[in-house]
Amino acid sequence: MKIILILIVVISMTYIGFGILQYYIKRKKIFEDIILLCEKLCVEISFSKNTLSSIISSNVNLFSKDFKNIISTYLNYLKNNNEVLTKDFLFKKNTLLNDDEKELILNFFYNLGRLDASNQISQINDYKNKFIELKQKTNEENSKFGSLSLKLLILMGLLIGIILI
Amino acid sequence: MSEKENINSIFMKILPEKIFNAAIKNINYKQLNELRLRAGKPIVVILGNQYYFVSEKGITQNIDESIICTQCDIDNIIFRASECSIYAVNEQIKQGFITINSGIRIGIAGTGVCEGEQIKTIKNFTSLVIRIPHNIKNCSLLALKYLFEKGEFKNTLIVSPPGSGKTTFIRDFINQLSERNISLNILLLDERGEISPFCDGENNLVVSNFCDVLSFINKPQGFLIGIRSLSPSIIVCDEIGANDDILAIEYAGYCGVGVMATAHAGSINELKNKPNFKSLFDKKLFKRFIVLSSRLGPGTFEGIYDENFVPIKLADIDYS
Repeated sequence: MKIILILIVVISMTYIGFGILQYYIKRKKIFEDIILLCEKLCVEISFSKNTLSSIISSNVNLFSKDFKNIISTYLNYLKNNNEVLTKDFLFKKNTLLNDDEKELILNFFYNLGRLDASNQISQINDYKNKFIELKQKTNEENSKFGSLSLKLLILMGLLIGIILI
Repeated sequence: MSEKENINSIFMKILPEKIFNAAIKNINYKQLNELRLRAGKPIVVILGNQYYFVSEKGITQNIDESIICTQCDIDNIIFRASECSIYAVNEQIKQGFITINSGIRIGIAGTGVCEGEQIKTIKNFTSLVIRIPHNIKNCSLLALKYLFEKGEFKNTLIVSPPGSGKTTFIRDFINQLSERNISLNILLLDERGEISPFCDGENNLVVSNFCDVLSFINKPQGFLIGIRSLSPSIIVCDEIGANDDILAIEYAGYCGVGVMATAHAGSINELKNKPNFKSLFDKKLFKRFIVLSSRLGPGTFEGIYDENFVPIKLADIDYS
């Protein structure tokens, strides 16, 4: 009985540790994806001048699940004349990003498609630089808090296990 | 999808809901020619030849009930008409229009952004003219028999004021040839993508079996590419006017290729006085001139003239 309890405690602590690690990895992945989107947009806008919905639809499979949710909502906005692009609409399921990050991504999407090709590309590049900074920040967060939390919680689980023995 | 459903779905995508519900949803779209939107002014609908205002209950002749178009409405329509991708249609915007599905053309007025002599784009949009194309079957029949002599096509210029059915005429001309199995290879230079528009991969307006289409290429380049690579019997193009267009037509005329084109003029006399057309008339490159008007609705046939501007057939008199 004691062994089962110890196992449950260790597994639960490790699981929570993985959860926290995943949170930081997912945050990082969103910024990696949005940087990838910026690159795809720049290439396609300068070369084929395809519409936003066709560029994004053809690349949607490259993105992680969390970014795919944001992108699908944005595609709905592009296809539906009556939708208004707001923070609540675009990030309805997203708990990974903070308010400032949401605001920046919202502005990025809001400003897409409103300029001629050369100005649009330079605007996308400006946003891309901001996203690269945020990716670096999330990268640091990940190695600082994500990995540390996992290690600490595994250790804590083991410690509790030892105390229980 | 029926033509009405098609038009409805296109307008639903670009017009704000209140304008769509009032102006488009419940009207006879077959009579709908134009929708005119000006920032801060009442929205105007042209049905047949008649002007109406758009009110919340539908169309009206009472200006006091009319819905006022806002700047935001105009900006939104352009954004939506470009499929939320202004960069994709900026080349068209520079020329003052956007063509959307089914050949619907949105004429744009605003402030030009220029660099040297080149227009970079148009900003601060103030007015939109949304023109709805119609396929009027047999509208070219009255003139068709005068355009061939011993099986040979006579170079033809169709003239009328704006919005009087020139584009509809050339579309029907192309379809009529195919229907009669006249297997002349037609090259259609559709510079603005409105004569032969593709909607979801289908083209419901030009249904000819003998027609090749070069879209969104300017006329001088289109004539060169077409003559070299597509060996057309007749090149059909819309709205000539610039000096380069005239040179391209002269080039085609000396390559053994027939030309059917359209130009703006209110009458045959106005056409004769167009300065940059003089060389075409002196060289008698066009053998037939067809005059259309909106007298009895767009596409009213007013007459057909020979290369010396002598009438062959006028609206009610046949001289042949």
